[in-house]
Amino acid sequence: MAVAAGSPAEPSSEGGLGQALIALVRRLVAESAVAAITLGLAFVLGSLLIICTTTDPFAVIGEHGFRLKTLGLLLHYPFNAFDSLFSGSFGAPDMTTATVTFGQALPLVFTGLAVAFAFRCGLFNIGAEGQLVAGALVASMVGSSWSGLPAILLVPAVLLISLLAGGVLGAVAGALKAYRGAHEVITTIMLNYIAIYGATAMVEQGGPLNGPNSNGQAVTAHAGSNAFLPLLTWLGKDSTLDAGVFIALGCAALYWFIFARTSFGYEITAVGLNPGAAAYGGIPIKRRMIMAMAIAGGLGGLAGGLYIADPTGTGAFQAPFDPGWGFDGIAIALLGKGNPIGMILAAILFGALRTGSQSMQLVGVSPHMTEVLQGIIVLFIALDVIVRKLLNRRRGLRTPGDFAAEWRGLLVLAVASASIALIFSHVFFGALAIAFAAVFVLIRRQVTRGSVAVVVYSVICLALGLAINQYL
Amino acid sequence: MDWSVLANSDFYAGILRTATPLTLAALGGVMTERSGVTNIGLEGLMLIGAFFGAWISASVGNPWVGVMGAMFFGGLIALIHGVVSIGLRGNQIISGVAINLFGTGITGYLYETYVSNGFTNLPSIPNLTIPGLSAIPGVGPVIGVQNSIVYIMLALVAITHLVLFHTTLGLRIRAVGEQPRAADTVGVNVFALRYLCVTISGMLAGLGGAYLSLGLISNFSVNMTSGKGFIALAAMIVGKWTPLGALTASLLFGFGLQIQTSQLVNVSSFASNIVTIAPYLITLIAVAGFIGRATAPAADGVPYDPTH
Amino acid sequence: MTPPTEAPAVEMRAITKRFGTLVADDHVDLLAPSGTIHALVGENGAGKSTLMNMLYGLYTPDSGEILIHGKPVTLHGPGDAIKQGIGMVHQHFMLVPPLTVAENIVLGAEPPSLARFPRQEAIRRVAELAARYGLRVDPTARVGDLPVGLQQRVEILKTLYRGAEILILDEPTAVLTPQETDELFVVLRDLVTKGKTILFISHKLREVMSVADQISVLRRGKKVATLEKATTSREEIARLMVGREILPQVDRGVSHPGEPVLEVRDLRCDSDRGLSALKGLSFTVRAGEVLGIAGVEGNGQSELVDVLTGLRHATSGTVSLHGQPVTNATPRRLRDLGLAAIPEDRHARGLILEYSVANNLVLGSQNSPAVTGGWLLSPRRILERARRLIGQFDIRGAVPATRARSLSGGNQQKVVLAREIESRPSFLIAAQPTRGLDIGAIQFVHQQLLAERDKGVGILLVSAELDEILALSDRIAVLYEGSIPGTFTAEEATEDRLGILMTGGSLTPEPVGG
Repeated sequence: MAVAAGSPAEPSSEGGLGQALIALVRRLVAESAVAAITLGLAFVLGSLLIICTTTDPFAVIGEHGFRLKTLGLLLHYPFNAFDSLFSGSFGAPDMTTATVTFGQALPLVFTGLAVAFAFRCGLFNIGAEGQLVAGALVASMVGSSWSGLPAILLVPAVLLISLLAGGVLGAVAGALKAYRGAHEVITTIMLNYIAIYGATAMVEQGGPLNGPNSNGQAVTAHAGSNAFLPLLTWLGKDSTLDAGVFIALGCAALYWFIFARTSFGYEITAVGLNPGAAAYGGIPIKRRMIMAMAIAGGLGGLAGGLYIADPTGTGAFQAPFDPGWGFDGIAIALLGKGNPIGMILAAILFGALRTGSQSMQLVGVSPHMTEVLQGIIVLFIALDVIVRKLLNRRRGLRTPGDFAAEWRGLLVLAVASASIALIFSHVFFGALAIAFAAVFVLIRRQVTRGSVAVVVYSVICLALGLAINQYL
Repeated sequence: MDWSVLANSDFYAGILRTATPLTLAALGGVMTERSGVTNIGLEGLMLIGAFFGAWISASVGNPWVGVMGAMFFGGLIALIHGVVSIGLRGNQIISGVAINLFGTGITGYLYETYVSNGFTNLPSIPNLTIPGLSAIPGVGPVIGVQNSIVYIMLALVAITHLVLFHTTLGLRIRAVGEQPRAADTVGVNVFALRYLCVTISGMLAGLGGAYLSLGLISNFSVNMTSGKGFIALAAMIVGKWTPLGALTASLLFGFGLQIQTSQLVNVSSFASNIVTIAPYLITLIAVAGFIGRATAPAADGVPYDPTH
Repeated sequence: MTPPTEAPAVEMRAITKRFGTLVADDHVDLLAPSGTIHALVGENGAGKSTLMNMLYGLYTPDSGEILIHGKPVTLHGPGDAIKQGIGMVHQHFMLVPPLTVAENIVLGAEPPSLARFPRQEAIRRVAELAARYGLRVDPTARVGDLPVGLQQRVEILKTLYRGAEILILDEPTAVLTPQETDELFVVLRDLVTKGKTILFISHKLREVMSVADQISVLRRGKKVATLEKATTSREEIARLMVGREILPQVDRGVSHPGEPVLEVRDLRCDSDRGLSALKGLSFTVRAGEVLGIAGVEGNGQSELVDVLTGLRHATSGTVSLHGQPVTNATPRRLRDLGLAAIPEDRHARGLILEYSVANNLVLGSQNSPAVTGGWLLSPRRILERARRLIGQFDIRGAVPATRARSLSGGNQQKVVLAREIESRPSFLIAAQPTRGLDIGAIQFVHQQLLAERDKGVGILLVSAELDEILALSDRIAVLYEGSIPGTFTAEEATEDRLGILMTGGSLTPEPVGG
C-alpha cells in the first residue's frame, strides 16, 4: 500500500546543491497551503468545542443577540485557551519556554522521520513507539554497563545501540512484509506492544534488567553522566535543550540528502511509487523494503536513545514508558508531507501543543484538547486528496514558470502569521510574517502587488499587536 | 506458581469478564472488515463508549440509557470514519489513527471539563443470575452469574454469526467485502452495506466500552481502555474474521490477562509480564501466515470506485 | 437456411461509438436470428467488445439503434439489458470466490425469505436450472475451488437464472483448456436448441468454425463481412480479419545476423491462473536481426516477455544470453548481461509516472558510473543525459523536470525507448512497442528499432499488429496457445500463412468447408 504523501522530494534533476535546496523549500511552500488549511480547520473546530463546553452559547446569544460583540464574547474562551497554549510554548521574552518546546519537539523529529522514511517505500510504519522504547531500553543498558567510558565514546555508543535496536524491530516488520506479505500496519502495531510490554517485563522488580538501586521500582540502572549529551547553555542558562538538536538537524539533512542525491534513495522511492516498474528496472524490491523499514526503525530507536542521553533526565529507563512520540510521529510525517523542513516545523508544532497544553489548564481548558486537535488534523490528512481537489491544484506540466504559482503559498503563510500576530499580540509571529514576505520577494526577484500588500498588512498587524500589548 | 487459583471458579469467571469487551469490539471489527472497510480505530471507539455510557448514565440516572448513549456515540463517530473511508475514499488506516486520537482526546477533555473527579454512585448495569444454570456446581458461578452485558455479548456473538453466515444480508455483506464489483454488477448496493457495517462496528465497540465503565467497574478514568481496542483487533485477526473465532480468541487472550491479575503467578514477576505479550505475538505469527493463512476479506481496506 | 419467420432476436443498426478521437465502432450492423450462434471475430481493437458492451447496456451508442425481437430498446445499464432478456459473461469473471455456486448465482436476486437465507431453496433452484440446461455443476461447491471451465458455467447459469434469452460471451475460450472448450460448445449448442440466441466474441477461428452458425468480421471498428459458416472457410475469415493496412513503410534494409544472442530451449511456464502458458518454446535470436513473434494477444506473449525479463518463473527449459545460462535470473543480472526491454504496459511496468522524465530516463542505470559521479547521483549528468535524450528522441512536451504523467502516450513510450536504448543493450525485447501511438510516433519507434538492429543488437519483437511484424522482422515465429506452430523468414511470410497459424489453423491442406 503506497500512500503518496504529497510530492516526494525526488532525486533532484535541477542542478547544484544550492538549487536542490531551493527546490526543497519550493516544495515546502507549495504544500504549506494545504497544511495551513488543515490546521486552520482544526483550530476552528477546536474553538467550537471549547465554546460549547465552557459556556452556554445559546444563552450568550440570547442575551446579546447576533452582534459582533457576541462573537467577541464567545470567541473569548477559545482565544484565551489558545493564547495560553502559545504562551506556554513560546511565550517568555527570552527563549526559555521556546527551548522547552524545542526539547519536546526533538524526539518527534526522529519519530516523524521514522514514519516518513518508510512512507517513501510505500510502507506504513506505525511502530515508531515500540522502536523508541526498544532503543531507550538498550541505550540505558549500554550506558550503565559501560559507564566508565569517556563521554566521547560512550555517547555515540549509546546512540548507536539504540539505532540498532530500533532497526531490528523495523527490519522484522519489513521482512515479514517482503517475504510473507504480512501487512505492516498490523505487524508494527503488534511489535509496539511486544516491545513496550517486553521492556516493562525486563525492567520490573525481579526482571533481568532491573537496576540495583531501583528501590522496588521498575527501572534500570542509571547510565552515568558520561552518557549524557552536552547541554546547550548558550541559549539561556536555564535551557533544557541538549546537543541532540544537532543530531536531529543532521538526520533531517541526511534524510533529504539520501532522497535527493543517492541512488539508494532513488530506488526506495521508486519501489514506493511503482514496484512493478522498479522490479522491471532491476531494483531488488524485497531488499529495499527491508532496508527502508530497518532505517525507519533505527530512526525511531534513536529517539529513545536520545531520551536516555538527555542530560536533564535520569539516564535510566523506567517502566511503564510509553510517551506517545511514536504516534505523534505519524501525524508529523503526514503533516510534513515527507518534506524534512515541513516535518521539523510540524514537530515544533506538536512540541508546542505538548508544552503548551498544560498552560491551558490555567484557563480551565483540559490539556486533552491538544489530542482532539491532533485527531482532527490527522482526519483531514486522510482526506488529503479531497482538500487538494478543493484547492484545485494543477499537478500537471511543471515548466519553470509554473513554480511561480506555488510561491504564492509563502504569501498565504505570511498573511496567516500576521493575523496570528495581531490576534495574539505576539511579536514572534509578526516577525515571521515579514520574513515570509521577504523570502518571497527575494526568490521571485520582483516585487509584485500581492507581496507589497502582504508586507503592508504584516507591518500593520505587527504594529497593532505591539500597541495592544503596550496599552492593555 | 499458585496452582490452587486454577481450581477456583472465580478465575474462569474472570476470563469471561475480561473477554467480554474484547469480543464486543472484535465483533465490530469483524462486521466492518467483512464488508471491506478497515477500522483500526476500535480503541478510540471503545473509549467513547466507556465515557458517554458513564456520563449519560450519571446524568439521566439510568444505566441502560447510558448504554444506548454509548452505542449511539460509538456509531456516530464510526460513521465519520465511514464517510471518510467510503464516501470520500480517503485512506482508511490514517482515518482509523485519527479516530483513536480523537476518541482519546475528546473523552479526556470532556471528562476533565465536566466530571474531573470520577463518578460517584454511578448507576450501572446489574448482574444477572440465570436460575437453573447458576446452581450447577463448578460451572454455575462462571456462567450462571455474570453482568447482563456479558450475556448480551454472548447473544450478539450468536446473532452476528447467524446474520453473517445464514441470512441474505450477511451473504451480500460478505460478497461486498470480497468482490464489490461482482456484487455491484448484480445490483447489490455496495456503499449502503458498507456504511451499515461501519456504523454497527462503532455501536458494538461502544457497547464494549460501556461494559468497562458500567459493567466491569462503575467508573470512568482517562484512557481506561489501555490498549484493549488493539487486542480486539488482534482477536479479530486470530479469529479469522468470524464471530465465533473472535470469541474464542478473546477468551484465549482473556486467559492470558487473567493469569496476570489473578495470583497464579506473582503479579509483577517476569513471567506474568511475558504473558501479556502473548496476544500480540500470536497475532504477529498469524498475520505472517505461520499458523494457517489468516486472510482478510479480499477487498478489505480498498475503497470501491465504481468507475474503475 | 430457412428465411426467418419472426423478428431476429438481436438487431443492431448502424451502431457508432467514439471514445474521444478514437472511433471504436463505425456504423456497425449486426443481425442474429433467434436460436442461432453468432460469432464476432476480429483482431484486438476491432471493436467487438465495445459493440457487445453496448448490447449489454454498459455503454450507450453515439448513434444507431438496437432492436430486441424487433422492438427498439434503449439500454441505460445492465439492469435494462437483463430486463430485455440479455445476459453477458465477461472475459474476467464477476464471481465471489469464497461463496458457493448457488450463492454466487442467486446473489442480488435471492429467493425471498423473511430472515434466513433460504439456502436449500437456492440450491434447489440452481440444481433444477443446471439440470434443465445440462450445465452440470455442484451448487454447494466453493466457486474459488472450481476449475475455470466450471466457473464459466456458473457465470452462464447466473444469466440463465435471471431469465436470459440472449447470451453474450466475451472470449469464452480464452481461459479454457481444449476439453473444457469442447464441453462448452456442447452446452452452447444445447442452449440453442432450447431457443436461446448466443453471440460470442472470439479470435480463435478453429473454434468459431466448429460452433458458430454465422460469423461477423470486424476490422478497425467497421464490419467487413457477415458470413454463413457453411459457405466460408477459415482462410477467408482470416484474410478478412487481418486485412491489409496501408502504413508508411520504413525501409527495412538488409540484416546481417551474427552470433546468437538469445537461445531459448523448451521453455515452459504457467499463467497467473496456474494454467500452462508456454508449452515448450524453442527459438534463437541473433545479433543484428529482428525476430518477430506474431500472434493474437493472449496466446502466451505476456508470459514469454515476463520470463525473459526475469519477472516470471520458468517451470522448465533453459534461457541463455550470450551463452550464459540465465534461466530464472534476476532482472538486474539480465540487465548487467546486456538485456533491455520495452514492456507492453508502460504505465504498470515501464514508467514511474510520478517521477520526472529525467529520473525515468535513469531507471535501471541509477548505479552506473555514467549517472553517478562516484557514489552519488550527479544531477548534472542526469540533466545532461535527459536533455540529450529528449532532443535525440524528439520527446515532445517535456523538459527534464516534467512529470512523466503529463506526457502523451506516444511521448511516454519514447521515454521508455530512449532509456532502454541508452543502456546500450546487446539484446532488446520490444513488447507491443507502438500500442496507443499515432502514425508519426509509430514510424519513429520503427526507425529506432531498425537502427538498433543495424548496430548489431538482437531484437525480439512481440506484437499483436501483424503489419508491424511484417514491416520490421527478418524472421517471424507465430505464437499460438503457448507453442510455435511455424517460423518463417521475411520472404516466406505472407499474411495468409501467418493469419492461418495465428488463428489455430495449419498449413497442411484441409478438407473443404472446414
